[in-house]
Amino acid sequence: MSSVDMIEKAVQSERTSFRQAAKDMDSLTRRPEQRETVGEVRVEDPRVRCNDVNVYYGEKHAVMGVNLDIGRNEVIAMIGPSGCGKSTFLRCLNRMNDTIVGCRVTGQIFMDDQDINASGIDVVPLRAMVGMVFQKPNPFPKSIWENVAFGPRIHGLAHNKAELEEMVVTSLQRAGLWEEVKDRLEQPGTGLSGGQQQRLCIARTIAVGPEVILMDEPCSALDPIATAVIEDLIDELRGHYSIVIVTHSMQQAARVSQRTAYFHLGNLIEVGETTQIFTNPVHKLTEDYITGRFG
Amino acid sequence: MGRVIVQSLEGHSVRRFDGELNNLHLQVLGIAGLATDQARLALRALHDRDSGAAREVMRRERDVDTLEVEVDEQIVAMLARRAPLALDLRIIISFSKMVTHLERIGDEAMRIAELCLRLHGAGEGAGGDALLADAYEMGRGAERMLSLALEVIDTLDAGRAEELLADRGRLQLEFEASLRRLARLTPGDGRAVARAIDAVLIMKALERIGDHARNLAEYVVYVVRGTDVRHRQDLRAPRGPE
Amino acid sequence: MNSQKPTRDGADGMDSRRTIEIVRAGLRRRQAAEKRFRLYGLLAILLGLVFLSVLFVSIVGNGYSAFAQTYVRLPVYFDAAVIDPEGTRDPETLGSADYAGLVKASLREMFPAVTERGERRALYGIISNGAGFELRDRVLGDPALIGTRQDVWLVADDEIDMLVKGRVDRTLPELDRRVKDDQIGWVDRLDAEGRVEKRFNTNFFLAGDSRDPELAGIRGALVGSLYTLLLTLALSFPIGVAAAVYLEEFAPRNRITDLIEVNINNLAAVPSIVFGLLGLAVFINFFGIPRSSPLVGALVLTLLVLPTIIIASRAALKSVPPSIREAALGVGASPMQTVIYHVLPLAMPGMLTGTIIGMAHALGETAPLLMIGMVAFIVSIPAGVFDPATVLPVQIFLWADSPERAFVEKTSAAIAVLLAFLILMNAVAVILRKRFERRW
Repeated sequence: MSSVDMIEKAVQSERTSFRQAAKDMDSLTRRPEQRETVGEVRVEDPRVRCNDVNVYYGEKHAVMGVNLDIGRNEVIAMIGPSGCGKSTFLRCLNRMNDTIVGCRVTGQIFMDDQDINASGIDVVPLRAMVGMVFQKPNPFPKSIWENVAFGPRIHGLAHNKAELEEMVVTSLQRAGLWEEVKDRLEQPGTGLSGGQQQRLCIARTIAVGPEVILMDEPCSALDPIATAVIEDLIDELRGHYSIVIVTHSMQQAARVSQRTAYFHLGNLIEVGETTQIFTNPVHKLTEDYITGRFG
Repeated sequence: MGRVIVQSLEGHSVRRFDGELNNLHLQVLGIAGLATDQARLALRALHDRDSGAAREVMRRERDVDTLEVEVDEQIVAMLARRAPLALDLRIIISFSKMVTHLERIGDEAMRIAELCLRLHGAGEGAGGDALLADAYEMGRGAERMLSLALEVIDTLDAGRAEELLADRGRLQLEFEASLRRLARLTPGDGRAVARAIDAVLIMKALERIGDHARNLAEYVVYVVRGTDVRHRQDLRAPRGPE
Repeated sequence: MNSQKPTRDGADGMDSRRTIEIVRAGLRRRQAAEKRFRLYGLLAILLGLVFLSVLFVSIVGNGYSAFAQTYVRLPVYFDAAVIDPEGTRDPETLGSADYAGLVKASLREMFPAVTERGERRALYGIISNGAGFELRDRVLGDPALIGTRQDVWLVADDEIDMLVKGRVDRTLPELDRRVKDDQIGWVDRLDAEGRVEKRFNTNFFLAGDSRDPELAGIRGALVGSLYTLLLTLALSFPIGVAAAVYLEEFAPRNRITDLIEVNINNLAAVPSIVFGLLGLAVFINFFGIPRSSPLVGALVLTLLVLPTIIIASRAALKSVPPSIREAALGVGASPMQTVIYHVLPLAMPGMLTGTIIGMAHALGETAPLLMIGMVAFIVSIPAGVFDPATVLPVQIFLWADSPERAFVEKTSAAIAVLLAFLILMNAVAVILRKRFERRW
């Protein structure tokens, strides 16, 4: 190869790499476009109905025009790569995004024909109705009893000590923790194992008597056995509550949910029956994600 | 619509999984090739009265069985290791079933080879020969289907697989026609009857090989389209946006 | 740079040594460096300890003797003609009598040989000027003493105290000493008769300031410090915590809050004397709060420690994991309930520690108090927050300025008391932290 050729080639490759860089810049600055959702987003008699929900973090458009129904007594799983907006969307449902500075939510989220984003809606009753379980077990550094009794107490749900006691016991029983902690209700909740702590958090959530429970990767800090216990519990809780669970474990989504929603770059790409999503997803992005062909 | 799916075996974030899937695919192809070859060899034994070919078929039957066991073990390991979902799940499950059908094809080829040896030992018979000629014709049809199935397994081309499924029943029709011819035959000659029965058994085996080939095509359609076309009269229209 | 690049690949031909050999070769040097590094730290700590012990030894060595005081036993005749010539036992008459004269008479009686005027004055100088007040208090407490003759322990003069404590060099020429040869002779005689004794100096803790070292005590300063600190605490803790909670939990992040934050941090770095000037201008001159009073001192010190408390409280609030807030908000607690039930209890140890450290700072602060007149010479013990008062560090400053030899030990003793209080407060901070600290 002559030196002239080499120079020519170098210039050429320089040019293409420059073009590539320009393209990259373009894709960075251009907002990712909104996509149509594949699959049936509506259900009959929904517990929660979301219409065109958008979330912005400052300039960033984190959730784009999501339409989705959450049925009664169903477990719906939200899956998708990190930063796809699934947790952000989850936190819209009880307006936990309010606590984040620079976060703006548009669109309507209806519960009982009431838009929870409407002005004049107080978040306190909303959060009593839509409980939340977080990624890391976060019991209060107080006794097990206090942890569960906190919710009923601040909402004034119990009229006397006996009622409060019954609420605490029922919640712990429903969370499958009663047998393990009934002899040590006065001990700190932080002294329990990770799985027990997470179930304590679930007990604390259901003590308030919510109708929807949001779970943000509830098992990501737990070992497989504790995870299995929680999953079993989720299956039982389905009889009483609508559950929305965000998870990074496809297997977990497949195990616990009836419907699955796949998020990608702020878009709700596909919704469907869990078995269909995990055996025969319609959208190419869903399939690539589920089969681990990402990036 | 020919979504070429072979490339879709690749692209996993876990590169080893790509390798394992490709490897599995090659092994299934290997069994498929061997099974097809067995069938061809058995047909040659029938047509050319080649007892050596028939014995070769019987000798290689064990290879098919060994390969089947190997592939099954690998599939179990992959299921445990990778917990595959969606396309991967369909591929692996389908491969697992395909292997069973391929092994059965091998079984049928061996049965044909056995029958050939018996026929060769028994000598000639006029009516029977006509039947055997029919059987050979049928065998050509079965072989065509089998090579199409082999191609479809190789390319995982759902369109071609549907072509294969479309000519359903041709072998069956031929088999029924042969049976009618057999009914017309019925002479008192016991030997001729025995030959005729052997010929019918061969045809039955060939028909089964055809069925297995169709099953293989059904699995390919399932892998690609995600729809189960077994036991279904109509074929579903091609689906879905990308 | 190092041209000999170690490679593991022998085929390169550059250096085929194995990594382990290269590591071994440098191992000794590395270990030595490691040891040196630890040694530096150890040396630094030792140096600090040495300075600290020098400080303590010098303070205690100078100050321990101030906790004892020399007393002289004199036979005093409570002469009715002097105390109550008319026999009315009227307290006013009793109070205004010439008790110093009684002491002088007693001394004249003890040493009849001393007749010359100058010598007599030296003789009277053995006993403190305050001895008369001591006698007066006794008489007022028990008028039956009048007309009787009693042996009374009276406080010796500060110079005599120094002499008895061995702090006067007897070998010096008489002119260079404040204690004259005659006085030494008299004291030695009294001592031989068993009339001189060192006792625990209760006066030091019970009396206010005085020009006479043997009568001066720190009670006025202690009470002043106590009032000032209590007021400072009462003002700065709620204000500081409320400000920190608002800034940390509720305030929106914008330019105004950023500005406030920067200014709080700057305020913590403002020289304390500036706060004193501010107090003088605003609290005393504008609001007319009495100068030298604990109230104005507390106001100034509040300004001084507020930044510390706010910064410490905000740090404590920041260290409360956000997951706790999320948990509380998640079950539907309002922001206020979240803060009161969960965030504040968890932040309290840090806040208390910050506050106590701020209080310790306030306890030792002098400069701003000089500006608002707490440096005045105040004998009486303050009875309230509006009375003129002084505080411990200012008292120390005052005594350190006094020329008398006996004030040196008083100064050191007062410093020791101040240090004891500081250590006590820091200990309380540690205990509080240990006690309230929770795991999460």
